[in-house]
Amino acid sequence: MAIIVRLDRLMVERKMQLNELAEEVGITLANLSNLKTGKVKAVRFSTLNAICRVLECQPGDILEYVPGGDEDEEED
Amino acid sequence: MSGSTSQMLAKYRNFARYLGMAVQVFFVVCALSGVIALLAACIIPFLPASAFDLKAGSYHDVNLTFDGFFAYTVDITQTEAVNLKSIAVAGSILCSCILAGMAIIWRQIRLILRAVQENQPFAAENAKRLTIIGFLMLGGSIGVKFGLFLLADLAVRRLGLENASANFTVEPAMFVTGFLILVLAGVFHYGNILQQEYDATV
Repeated sequence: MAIIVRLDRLMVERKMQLNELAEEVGITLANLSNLKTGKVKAVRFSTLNAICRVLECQPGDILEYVPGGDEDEEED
Repeated sequence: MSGSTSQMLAKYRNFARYLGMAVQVFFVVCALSGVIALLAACIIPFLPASAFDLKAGSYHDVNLTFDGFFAYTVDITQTEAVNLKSIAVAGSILCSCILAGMAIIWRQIRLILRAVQENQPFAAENAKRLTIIGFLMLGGSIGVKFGLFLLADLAVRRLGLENASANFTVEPAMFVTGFLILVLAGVFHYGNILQQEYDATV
């Protein structure tokens, strides 16, 4: 997947734990963990909205596009 | 998830639970009856033939029907003694096969309802279960009728009925239902794909 989730970097900057963020955002810890590790296929705007609200950031701070990442997906 | 959606889902889960209890009863009844029929088919050959003799003069007449719509009255007083042992064995075997098929269908329905209770109506296994049910219905529409045809033919020959014959037909309602369930299995398979996409969305 060419979209990289930089949630771990932001969580370190904001000094927030995963379980705390999950509770604030309103999703399960498992789902948030999957999001952090890039195992999800899609993110709802409502979830992105909640994460940006809690971490006081922009969507671009969390999501990054890395060209060439789609080649790995095609090989899979 | 909104409160009204949760309430609706809870209502359907409860409905699935009560249906599941009824289906479990049907499954147990079919399975037990099938076992009894199979045991009868195994035991009857060892019973004395005299126990299955239809003696002339014992009954004035006997009503014979295989589809429940038409009944043929056999005047026993005019016929010689007939042994019905082979008919009893054939009937027991046919019954056990039909009841086994029905038990499998009830079991698959029970497992589908259990998946609904666990909030997984579109699990991949449910599509497979519906496929099994569909093929059983399709096969049963031909197989059950063929078995009844063989049984009827045996009865006609055994009783020496001169103006009666057995005909083979396919059960159209079961045939169409089988196809419909196979189509439904395809829909559930697609539903499974959508469910996976939904589950992978945060």
